[in-house]
Amino acid sequence: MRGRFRHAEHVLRVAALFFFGFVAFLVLRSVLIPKDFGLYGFYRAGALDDVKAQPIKYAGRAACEECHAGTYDPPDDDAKAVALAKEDPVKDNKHITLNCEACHGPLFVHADDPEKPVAKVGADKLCLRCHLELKGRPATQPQVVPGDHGDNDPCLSCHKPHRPKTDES
Amino acid sequence: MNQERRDFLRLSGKYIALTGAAAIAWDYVLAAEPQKAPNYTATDHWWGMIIDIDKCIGCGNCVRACKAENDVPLEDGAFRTWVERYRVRTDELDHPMVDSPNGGYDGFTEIDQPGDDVKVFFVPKLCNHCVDSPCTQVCPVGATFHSPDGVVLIDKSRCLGCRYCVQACPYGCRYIDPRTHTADKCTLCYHRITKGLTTACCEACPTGARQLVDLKNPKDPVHAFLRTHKIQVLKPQMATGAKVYYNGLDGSVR
Amino acid sequence: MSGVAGFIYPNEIELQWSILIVLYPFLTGLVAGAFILASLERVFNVAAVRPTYRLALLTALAFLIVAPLPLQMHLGHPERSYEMYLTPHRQSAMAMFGFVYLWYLMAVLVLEIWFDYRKDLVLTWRASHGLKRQFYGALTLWSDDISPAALRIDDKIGRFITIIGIPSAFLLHGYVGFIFGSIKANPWWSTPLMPVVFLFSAMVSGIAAVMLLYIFFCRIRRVPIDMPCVDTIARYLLYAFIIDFSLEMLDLIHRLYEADESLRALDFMVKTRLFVSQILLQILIGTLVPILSLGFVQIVRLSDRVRRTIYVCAGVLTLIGIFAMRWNVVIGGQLFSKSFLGYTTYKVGFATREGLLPAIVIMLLPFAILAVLLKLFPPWESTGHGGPDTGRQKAYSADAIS
Repeated sequence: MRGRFRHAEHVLRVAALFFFGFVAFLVLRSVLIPKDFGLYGFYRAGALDDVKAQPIKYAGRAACEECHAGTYDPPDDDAKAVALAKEDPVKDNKHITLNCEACHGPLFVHADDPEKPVAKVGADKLCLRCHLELKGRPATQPQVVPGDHGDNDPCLSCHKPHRPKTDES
Repeated sequence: MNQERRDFLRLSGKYIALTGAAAIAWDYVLAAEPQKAPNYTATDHWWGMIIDIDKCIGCGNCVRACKAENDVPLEDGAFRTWVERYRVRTDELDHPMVDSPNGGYDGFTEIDQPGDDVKVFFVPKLCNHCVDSPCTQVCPVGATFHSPDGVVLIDKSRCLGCRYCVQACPYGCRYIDPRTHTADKCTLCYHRITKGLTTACCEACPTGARQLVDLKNPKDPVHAFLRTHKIQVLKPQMATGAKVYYNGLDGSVR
Repeated sequence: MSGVAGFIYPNEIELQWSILIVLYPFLTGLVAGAFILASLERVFNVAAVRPTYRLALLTALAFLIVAPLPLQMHLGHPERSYEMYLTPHRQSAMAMFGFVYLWYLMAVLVLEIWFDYRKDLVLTWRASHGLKRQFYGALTLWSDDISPAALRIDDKIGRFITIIGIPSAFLLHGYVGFIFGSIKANPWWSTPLMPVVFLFSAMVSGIAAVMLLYIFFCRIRRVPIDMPCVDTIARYLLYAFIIDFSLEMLDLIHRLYEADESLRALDFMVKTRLFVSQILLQILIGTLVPILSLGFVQIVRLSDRVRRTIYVCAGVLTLIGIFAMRWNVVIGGQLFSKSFLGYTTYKVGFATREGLLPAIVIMLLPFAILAVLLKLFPPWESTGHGGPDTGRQKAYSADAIS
């Protein structure tokens, strides 16, 4: 080596080491970065599909109605219910806007394969979740204090959940 | 009811109740291949939510439905959505008393006396899917991001679990999933809304206090709603561009 | 919920960043501070502190090697941490970590140590046999040119690296301050002063650490302590401390004066949950006592022995105080709810992944590494840069060439 660089050989060795390290880094990067990274933004595009692939648990009201459209239309052999339905048309039934699964739990599996069983609904605790009198609940929400309403009888002794308005009210 | 009528009702119910696109998607859903459902172009949508405080009864259905739909751990500290109860004394507007027992999972029990001079209301909260979200800004590796349709999502296969995003969220909507050791939060039920369904929490809400909205859809009732109601977002001073719009939100809400 | 007062968001029940995240800025702070002390001599020609030059560099290296360990033990997926090198999100301060760390480790510290030690490495290489010979040979990259011209080049390059190293050290620790300071969601952290406060407290802790280590090793080697050296270091410690304290007080006074919504939550927290760590440990014992005692030394003539005692006490208290400062920022910032309506507590586990035991091990590890480094690269009887105050000419004088 000539001139000024005669005594700088060690510097060149270090520089070469760093340079090759940098090159190795670049090579590794191109290998390891997922191919679909950055397609739509600073993320791996496949992540969108990963999220979309999550299994569905709640079928939604429309799915239930495919088979159970008659829920709010009583079966012919329930005379009392049929009589009630005549006076108390479906349009006044406040529960009709509820999603079935709000009380019956997630039922996608059942909607997919009706052979699969449906869990029983535990009535009283469930009713009080929405209907317990609480400060903060709007007045439009029917609310009761359990002791004052019906002597602590089970809710179902007077109310049918699919047609909760009783003939006494 | 005989079989023919049942079939007729089923078919007509399907095509009346569902739009054409959702009907096609529904076939895939029923065929247990929901991920292949076509007819969803992300850039046609811009998702948000409306929460009507005047309608919320604090039943906790949304919290339960979310935990069930998204397989969220039932333990404390892992809530994709939760309900807070605010109790504001009219002579102490700066000091609201707030509680959220188990995030509202089991509903609430009464803690006020009948005559108490206190204003009470329920505030459901979730990820606000902010347009300028601080959480996506701070992620070091691009593991959390905005989808093209405005939903903030997490790539669980890239998340390091550094927890920076949890620190950066002003709303406390993120947590670390103890099973995957990655960040987790509300996905706006992305797996449902991309197939024409609504979110689990909106589906479960008995009073319609929570409504999924698509701001890019000109027919969505959100536009009329935003015009005719007094709307707020949480922590507007943070300028996060939150897309969860609250109707009837009191000034004491934090 | 035990330990919770008032209301916290349901997801806030668990603190996100633990004692390990307190350790990380403490360790990198020591690195930056030690390096700044070394640069005092190399760049600013403060010849008095030369006896600590090499010790400071090796101390910085030992702590830098350990610095990623608390982070790795904290991550949910440490095996994915390489992703920061592949897809660093340029908007995230934390994404800088991988590159800033690598830059500082390789391009600054390792190179500077290499260029400064090269002559001694070559001499050791020539004088040893077997495995040791191969080891030192590899370290020198098998180049054994230690002529005066080569050493002159080494000196020039070393000086250049130190000059670059100063802003690099600022970056290494300043970005940690920015990680906290840029979080608008957290008012305890969110302030533009945060990177600057972190930086100056880093310098204070690094200078104090090297001073203590120097006194300690002089004692062990039964070598007289170079008092002008230690006096100078203590003076720079005082200067850095005054700036650091002023900045922290400025932040506090500003908050108290503006009294915005977050102050009520923070004020209460400082008066209750953070009282011991903030008021007592950080401000009183960890800052005021060292500042006053170091200032006292500047004003009143004292004997060597008394000065040494004051320096050792001040140094230890300083390190405790700076650790407390990191604790108060990291843990303190998570004790109050973002709703400003409540507080939670932090319970450190002991033998858990982010517990007290790993924290203690991580704190002790750099000293173990330093002991190894001191053996491999003795900083004391060198013919190069860091020896006793003999002037830079000695580095390549005729009798030093073999």
